[in-house]
Amino acid sequence: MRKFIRTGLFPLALIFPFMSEDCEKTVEVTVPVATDIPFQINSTNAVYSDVETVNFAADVEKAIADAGLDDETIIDIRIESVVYKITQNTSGPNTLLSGALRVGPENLSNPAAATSLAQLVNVNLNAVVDQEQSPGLNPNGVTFLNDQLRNAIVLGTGSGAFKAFIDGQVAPSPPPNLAFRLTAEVNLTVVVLQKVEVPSGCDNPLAGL
Amino acid sequence: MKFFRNAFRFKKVALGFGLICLLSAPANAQFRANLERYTGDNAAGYLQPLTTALGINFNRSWYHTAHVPRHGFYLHLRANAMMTFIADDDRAYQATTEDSFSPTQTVAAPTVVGDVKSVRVNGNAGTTYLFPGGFDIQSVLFAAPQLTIGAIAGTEATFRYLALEIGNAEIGDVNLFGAGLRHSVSQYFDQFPVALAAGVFYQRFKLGEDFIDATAMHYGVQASKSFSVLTLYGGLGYDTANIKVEYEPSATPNERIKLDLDAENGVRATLGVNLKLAILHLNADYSIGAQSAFSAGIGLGF
Repeated sequence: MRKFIRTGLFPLALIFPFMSEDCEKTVEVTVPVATDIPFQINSTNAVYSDVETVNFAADVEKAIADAGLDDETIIDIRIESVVYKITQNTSGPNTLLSGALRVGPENLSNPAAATSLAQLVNVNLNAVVDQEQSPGLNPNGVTFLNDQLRNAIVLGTGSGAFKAFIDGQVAPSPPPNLAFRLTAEVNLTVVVLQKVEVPSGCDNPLAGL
Repeated sequence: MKFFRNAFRFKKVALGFGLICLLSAPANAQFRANLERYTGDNAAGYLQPLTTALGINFNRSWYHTAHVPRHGFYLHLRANAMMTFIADDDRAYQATTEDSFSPTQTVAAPTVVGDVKSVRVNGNAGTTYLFPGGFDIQSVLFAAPQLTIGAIAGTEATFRYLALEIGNAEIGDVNLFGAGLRHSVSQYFDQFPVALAAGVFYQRFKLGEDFIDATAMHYGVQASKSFSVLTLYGGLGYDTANIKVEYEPSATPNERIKLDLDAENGVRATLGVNLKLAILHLNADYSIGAQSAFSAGIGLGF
């Protein structure tokens, strides 16, 4: 009987330990985050401008929480792309918009001192309503945002807040009126290190035997 | 994190009589986060090796002998465990940047079973696209309870069934059903040196309402020869498997991504041994195909 039990238990020991053997691994999880910057323009002049204070940190925290990744260690955060959309427009027909989207420190008040992030060149407001546009980007603006993000979210040495300015001119000039809403979307990717347990995921797949 | 812990609590409960699959292991919050990063062809490429490995697992351990009596009543209750080894070629795939990232680029990125490090691609003006890392999985496990009933006219039926309420809305409930028929071929020959049988097996696995819906089929012939309490058996068969995955990507939460993935399976050869000790049956086999697999089982036969 003892022999029978030993003989029978051996295969049991063979099968089930490796099924329950978990290997802890640290994996890189990427989480996309989109932060919207809404600008509202109302002007009867040929020039326009608006300014918004933006903080990435809240959106990043929400995205991480939504992905179920608490107790996380964020190791990197990068700008992936910047797009914009005209979401509302009651400007005159064939109004062409040019200008720049700029970014700068939270305490900056002078748009001219901000760093250019994206260029808008002869955008026909009527033609692009609700259509996502991908503007040309300025490397200095991307670097500024990447630094802001890293300092605030990876290193914890900043607030993550910054100023976003939009300014420029329209044609024909002067326009009968200028009224539109432009929402810029900054797409980020956050890299989070997570410890996970992977069954049978050890270097030796039969390590539990 | 709670979701992750619950998934593993479920796995511990399921051990022995239940099943283990990707969803109790990498399919925790991290798995979903990485999968939801993708919206199109990249998602299929990211998941393909796991699809194939699961398809292989689903189609294993249906038999442990080719002997099917011509008549007489018997029951075999078994717990089977299957493990498919991940091939090196399956650890990366050709991934293409998505959405508004410019310029569009194609690079080798980790699959879900691949390297844990994400891959970075540099775009215009200092932008960066990141492809998620994998989970560095060497093998994929699956287990299922199984009941075989025989025999009428040299034919036996086999069933797999499991329904588990995980108690977690995010992971959903687990449902597994499988059925198969095997017919003795050697009964038509006198003094045939080995037992021969042919069979067809179907299995369906569902997780949640829509997250995963997998079906698998195995068609094959088996041969076996007994030596006292030991039986050597082998089989040659054809596997198919399809896995449907449905989820909402992070970038567009109102849009549902539906993936329809066919496993890269095909012809497979199996060689194994079964030990019969009174009513206790123990078996182990190894199969060769697109990916090699090991399976083992323990059961009671009456």
